[in-house]
Amino acid sequence: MGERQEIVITVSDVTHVYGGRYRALSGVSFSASFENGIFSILGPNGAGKTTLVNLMTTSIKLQRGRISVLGLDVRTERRRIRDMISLCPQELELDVMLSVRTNLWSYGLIRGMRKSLLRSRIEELLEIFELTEKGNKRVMELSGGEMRRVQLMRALLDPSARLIFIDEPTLGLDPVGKRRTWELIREMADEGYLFLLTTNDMAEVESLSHEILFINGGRILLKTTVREFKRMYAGRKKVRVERGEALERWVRENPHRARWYDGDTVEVFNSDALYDLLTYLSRNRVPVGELSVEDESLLDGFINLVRGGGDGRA
Amino acid sequence: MGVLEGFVHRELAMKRQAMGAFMGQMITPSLYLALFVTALSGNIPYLMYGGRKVPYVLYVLPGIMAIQMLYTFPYVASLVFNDRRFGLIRSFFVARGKPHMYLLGKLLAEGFVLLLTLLLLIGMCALITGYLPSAYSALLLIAVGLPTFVFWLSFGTMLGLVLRRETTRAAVFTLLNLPTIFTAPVFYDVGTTWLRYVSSINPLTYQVMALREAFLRGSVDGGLLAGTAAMGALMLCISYVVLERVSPR
Repeated sequence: MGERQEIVITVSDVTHVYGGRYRALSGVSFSASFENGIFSILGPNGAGKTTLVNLMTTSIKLQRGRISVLGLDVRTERRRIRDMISLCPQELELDVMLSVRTNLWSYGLIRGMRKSLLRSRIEELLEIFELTEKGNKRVMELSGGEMRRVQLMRALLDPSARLIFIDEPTLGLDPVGKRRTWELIREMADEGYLFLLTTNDMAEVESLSHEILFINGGRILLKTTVREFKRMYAGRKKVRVERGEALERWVRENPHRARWYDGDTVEVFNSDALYDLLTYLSRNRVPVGELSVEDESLLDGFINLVRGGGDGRA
Repeated sequence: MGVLEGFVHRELAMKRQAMGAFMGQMITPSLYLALFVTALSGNIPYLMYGGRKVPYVLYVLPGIMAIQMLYTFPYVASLVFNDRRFGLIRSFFVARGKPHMYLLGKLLAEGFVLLLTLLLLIGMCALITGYLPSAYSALLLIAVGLPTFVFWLSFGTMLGLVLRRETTRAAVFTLLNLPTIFTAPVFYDVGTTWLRYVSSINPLTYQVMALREAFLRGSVDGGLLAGTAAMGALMLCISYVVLERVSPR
């Protein structure tokens, strides 16, 4: 599969309010091109991710703004959009009393799949998700991770669904299940499927995505690529040092090179700044009771971004 | 067609999985007839109906048919309540499912079970009394029974969609079930004045009357027939509108 460059989703100035009071989204605008087939939306719980997905999948009515999915307007062409998308929600939406196969069979028929295709597709997915042996078991008899896999299978059942929305893809899966699911998503993306993932798992994003959108409090914080995000945060160091007047002055005078991370930790943005800080402390004979230097992870970057509400350097 | 088949397949699969409830649904009315009614026939062998003496078993059978149709409402309401609560309605409609297909799937699956039950009841009644309704009576029974069944199934669908809490659902079932049955002429002609008033606002009253006329007289009053059909159609429309409102838009 070659690289995809076309804009798949466009969201313009979308605002969504629940019950006339709770503002879940405020003037959200972005576009997603799914360059490697996978686009991720990141944000803490309550950030507005699920509302955004619900709007894009026509699960709830758009109140203000415009959304186009696969070139189709969600207000006027929801039927066509529904034919071309599939959704794996965060909550379990399965008939737990019915067997895995029956769940998939009735859902496939409701999606309008041909029986011959449906039959082969179910067996193929059961094999891929290593659930062939448990295909005739009731969903309620499966473990939490297995239930999640059935839900994923249902989302991947219809090959005519070009764009698949997965809310928290690996929620509740063990590390092995997580890794396997990531591999599957990558393989399917290579085959030409498009995935929009919503997650708060930074490792997931790093493993799968090309482009990421950060959202918090119903607003977009940043849209960037994983590579760019890494570049922005990769060189950062945290220096734990006793707080004093000289140190506070240095941080104040170098706002673009460092900031207070918490009470006694200074975060410096690159190695040069770290070198300058240590030189300064030495020259001014600032007593350094304890000093530790640690690299900042993408997760730290994510937390900084959410806390800062801007580009992470606030 | 495939979409509808998907809904019907799901409904029937749920019946297969809950075989106990399914058998209960089938057997309960037969037990009413075989035990309760037969035992009562010892004390009340005949009742006057339309100016003639009618065996009590024959008098009550249309009433049991009607309560069998009424019993679809708590069953369907529970299923719909769970479908809404667990997001299944949303997921079906975001796939290619449509509200009318969802309703039709329930009508066909529940209708199939009801048909089997009614045939069983009529067969048992024939064994006990030797009475079999004529072909014309059977047609009239269908003409009255279908809207009655549609009414209660739609009512159950509507309740399952509007009730938000499990405790409320249980309370509504308890408050509706027995009073509806005992204020309608299911087992007896409602005699007390104040009960007659309650009976007159109970839809089951008219449904039982229409079924009884079809079964015993082989003719149904035009007003009753039209009224039963109108009630069924109206409740179907209401449940469809409510379903549309909760479905993703």
